[in-house]
Amino acid sequence: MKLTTRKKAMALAGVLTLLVGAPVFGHHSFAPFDMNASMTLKGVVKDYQWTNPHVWIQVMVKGDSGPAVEWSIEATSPAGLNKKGWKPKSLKAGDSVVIEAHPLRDGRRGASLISATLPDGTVLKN
Amino acid sequence: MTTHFSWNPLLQVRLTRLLRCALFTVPVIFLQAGCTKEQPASAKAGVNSAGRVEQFANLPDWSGVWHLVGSPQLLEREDAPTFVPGIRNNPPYNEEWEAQYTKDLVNAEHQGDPNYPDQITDTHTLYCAAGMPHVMAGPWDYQFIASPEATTIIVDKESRYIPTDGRALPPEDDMWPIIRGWSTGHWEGQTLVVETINVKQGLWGDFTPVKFSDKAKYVERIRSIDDKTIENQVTITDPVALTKPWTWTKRYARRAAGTWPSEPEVCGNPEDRNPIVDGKLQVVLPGDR
Repeated sequence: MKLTTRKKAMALAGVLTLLVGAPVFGHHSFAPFDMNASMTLKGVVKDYQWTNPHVWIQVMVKGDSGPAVEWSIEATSPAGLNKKGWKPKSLKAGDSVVIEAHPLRDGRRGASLISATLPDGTVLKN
Repeated sequence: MTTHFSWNPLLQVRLTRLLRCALFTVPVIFLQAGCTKEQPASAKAGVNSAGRVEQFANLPDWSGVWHLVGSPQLLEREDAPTFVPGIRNNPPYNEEWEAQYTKDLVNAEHQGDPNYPDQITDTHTLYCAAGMPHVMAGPWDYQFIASPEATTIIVDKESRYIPTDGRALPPEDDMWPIIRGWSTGHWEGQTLVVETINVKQGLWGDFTPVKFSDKAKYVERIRSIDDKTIENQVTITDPVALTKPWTWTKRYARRAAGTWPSEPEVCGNPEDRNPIVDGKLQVVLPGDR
């Protein structure tokens, strides 16, 4: 896991805003997540939950040492993701993924999805 | 002088068929006309009267699925950026409400921060619904279903019922503040004019804590500005919160033909990992269960 500096993260958020044009909103705010910070997770999908109101990706991430740990990545709604090119079968257990996400403020292993790089190299955004 | 006719056999057959047809058809037509007069209109269930068809013909074509133009972040701007501290609307608040908005903006920026004492949660999250006026300025799919008697606006899982049949609002004792308010409408040409009152107080107007009292009145002028764009000019008057009317405009773009409306989001179901506890949003991770 790599945490960028606050300035870099804010610049990224600004660029994303310009690129995307409009934010992604689910049924709740992004309050629990630090939207001024971003992180990169490389791991293996444990579970891909295509559920309403929000889609979740459970990823097993192996650190420098010790066993892999589970991260929970929250995305927007199935309908919102579908508009961005996501499908119910875009991921499956065992897939290798690279996740860009905003971490939870409280330090637990959870994050709000920015984008995911799928096994075939396709990059899908939240 | 005598005249001699020579019948063409084929013509004779055709005339005979025509005569037989007329003998059967004319009484049937009269019989049907008689039945129509004697039976109530409900006997022709599902069929619009000519008058109603004409009324439909004068309504704008708002068929299809629509989407808000630009950023949904602020009511008064289409190009408002996101996640930028300090971003805000500028309603003509009186001193008291301006002070509260300023304070709420700071607290709102700290939503979810476990170390911040005065964090507040946006009401769209709490209610799992936007309400007025946020419902008309969000990043959702819109359907404007216009009929002579009423227009229904469907936004995600919310709906607004706007009667245009000339009825008055219910008596005061039969109304109470609700998040979508109580609306009536009328047509001025092809512009739908909607008045809404009795909106629950304290709702966030957009993704900032811009709020109004339950004495506010919302007047919308909804019209097509071209085949692919609907415009909604909204004027809010609020004797409790505002020093003068506040007007802003939103536009909705028609999505491609054949577009399915997005699946509405639902909250509170067993798959929802973001329950609200003590007024605050939770994030449930597998280890928490």
